[in-house]
Amino acid sequence: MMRNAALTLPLLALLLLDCSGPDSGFPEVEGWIQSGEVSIYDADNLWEYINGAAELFIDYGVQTCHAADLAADDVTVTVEIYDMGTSLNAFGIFNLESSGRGEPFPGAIEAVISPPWQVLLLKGADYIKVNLFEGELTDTVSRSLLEGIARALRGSTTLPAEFDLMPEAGRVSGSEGYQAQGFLGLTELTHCVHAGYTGEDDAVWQGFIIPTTTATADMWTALTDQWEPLEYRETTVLSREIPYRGLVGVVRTDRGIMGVSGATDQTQLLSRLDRFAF
Amino acid sequence: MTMKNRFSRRGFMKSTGMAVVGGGVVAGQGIPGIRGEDRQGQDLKIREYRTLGRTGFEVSDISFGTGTLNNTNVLQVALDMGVNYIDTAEHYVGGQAERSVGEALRGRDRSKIFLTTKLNLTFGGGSTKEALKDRFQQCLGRLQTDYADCLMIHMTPEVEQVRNEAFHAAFQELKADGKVRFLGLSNHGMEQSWWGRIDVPMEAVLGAAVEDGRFDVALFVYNFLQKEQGESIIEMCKSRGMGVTLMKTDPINLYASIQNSLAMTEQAGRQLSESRAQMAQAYEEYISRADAFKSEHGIESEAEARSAAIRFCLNNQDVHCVCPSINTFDELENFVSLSGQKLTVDDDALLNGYETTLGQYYCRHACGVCEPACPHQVPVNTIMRYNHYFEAHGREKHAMRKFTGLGPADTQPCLDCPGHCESACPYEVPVRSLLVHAYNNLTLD
Repeated sequence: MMRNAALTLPLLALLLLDCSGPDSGFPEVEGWIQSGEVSIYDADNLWEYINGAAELFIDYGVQTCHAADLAADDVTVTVEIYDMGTSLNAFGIFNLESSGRGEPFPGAIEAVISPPWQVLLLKGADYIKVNLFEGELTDTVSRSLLEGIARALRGSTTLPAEFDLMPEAGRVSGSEGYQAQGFLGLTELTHCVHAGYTGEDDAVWQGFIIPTTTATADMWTALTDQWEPLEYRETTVLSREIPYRGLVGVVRTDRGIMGVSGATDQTQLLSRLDRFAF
Repeated sequence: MTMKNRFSRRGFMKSTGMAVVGGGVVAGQGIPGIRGEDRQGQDLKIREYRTLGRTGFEVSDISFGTGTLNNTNVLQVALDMGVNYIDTAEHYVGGQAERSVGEALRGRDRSKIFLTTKLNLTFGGGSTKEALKDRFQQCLGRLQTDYADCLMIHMTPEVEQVRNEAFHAAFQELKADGKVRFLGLSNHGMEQSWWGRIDVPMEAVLGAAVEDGRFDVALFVYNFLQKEQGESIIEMCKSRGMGVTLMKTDPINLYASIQNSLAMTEQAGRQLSESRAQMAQAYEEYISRADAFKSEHGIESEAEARSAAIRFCLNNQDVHCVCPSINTFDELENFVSLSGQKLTVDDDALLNGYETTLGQYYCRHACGVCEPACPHQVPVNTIMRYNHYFEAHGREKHAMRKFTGLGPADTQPCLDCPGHCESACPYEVPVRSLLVHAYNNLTLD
């Protein structure tokens, strides 16, 4: 066994250490030099890299995380590329971690540039976090780096298609979001695509849709079991109250389960559903 | 069922006769967590407050961790229920957690709430005195408050960081300005993070903090499977009057997460690699044992074991609060319902049963008690850790590379050894056979 080990282990070590470059899954970024090896994680071991924060990424369907240090001049950064599986998942985690502060970015969907220590980028199913390690991450350096990363990555440069399922009229620009678990604090509301809407009374309320999937029927059945039904316009509306969020109501449509929240009474709830879902 | 869904609202509602709110606001009826009733048929409120060491603050035994917080209204209800310790950090949800906390605190009596936030000195945009003060000021801005009750060093990885003078100088100036009241630190007991520092035991870091004397509060790992290490830290903290707050109080979570990950991989129809298939097989064995455990103890869900695990922690009166991450009403209701509860005889039997049935796969984190007993100087704990990376985390290459890095370390002597390590192991872990198994995993033989 020892003899075999003596032969195989050095070879193994060489193979394992060679995890950078074109086959490493990590893009080459123009003007930046990769230092060290690429660390690769998946949903099973991501907690080891980012500890408790991994739970959030797992909720959003993280597939892999490739992390490596890049250096240019006197700046060294750690770039983390999270493959979230779908553009909707990537949008969700980006939106959450950026608190909706994203701005359109050339060659990508959105970016958050907040010198001096962290920048974020969203492109297709990839969510990219750049953390400063050494030097100063100025606005200019940040933009240059993100442009390089955006060029090196494939993926869509537009918002996920699921947002097209919600009406555009009255939608508050930039208010779009996606919450994978526990929307409005309710365990039963998962995979909610949402946005803010304004109405005649100038109040901003949330409209949301759980796009149709194979799980929609089960989810609707579960909601039927837990929420209060009422008939409206020949369809069933389910509603309930949420602490500090007023009334929430949903209907089932061919696009998915569509709902509104924040209503003060049933009349307002149905009025908003009228505008949003019917 | 996912971990997030482990506590069924429906079952809870039905079991207590709580009405589900209808199409209109019905005053005084059934708003979960505010006017409802808990499993014991009493108001769902915090029932016990404990003095957080020398801070003198009476904190709820169940606190609110914000590591995944994005629903402000859940925290608002928690505060209504009497939760008054909030644990947050600069980096949680990219700063959004602090913003949510700020929103929830608006209009409330700030003096009734103990608010802890944290700064990471290893990364995060500068660790000079001025940079740290600036970062902390940004925390206060997001939190919409004039002061934090406690500022912690986040994920303190090493003893040197405990004595980081820039941090201490920044803290003193912030304290003098009335922007923070107490000093703390957290430690995850992790052995590896992206900055690469490993193998600094939790008790070494926290022991240094206790000796240092400047720290008022600690946040660290303690659970029923790692009693000794945690209890020794708790004792150290007690000797200096430090507040004790806990995380990772429920190690059962980890196993369930792995089961879920495997199930998700299979559901997605992806081909399992051979190594993953081996891992799946190993966990099928685990699941089989878990089922036997549930059957033997008459429990229907893992939630009952998790509740018992938290009661185990609360049973120690030198623990001041546990800090679970909470993001839904279901999670909140479950945790608050545990407030004031003590470990029961049944809990004790259940946790002992868990440890007996399933705990034997758990070679304790950073233990190494058996190593002096080995005549061949096999680095048992290190090899077990690498094997854990391989099997439990599916991080095969990393584990094999780490094993290779041990140099001449080999477990061949284990094949013919009578097992001195097993005799030395206080937890009766089958060390020798696990080492051989680890070697098979970690080499190409």
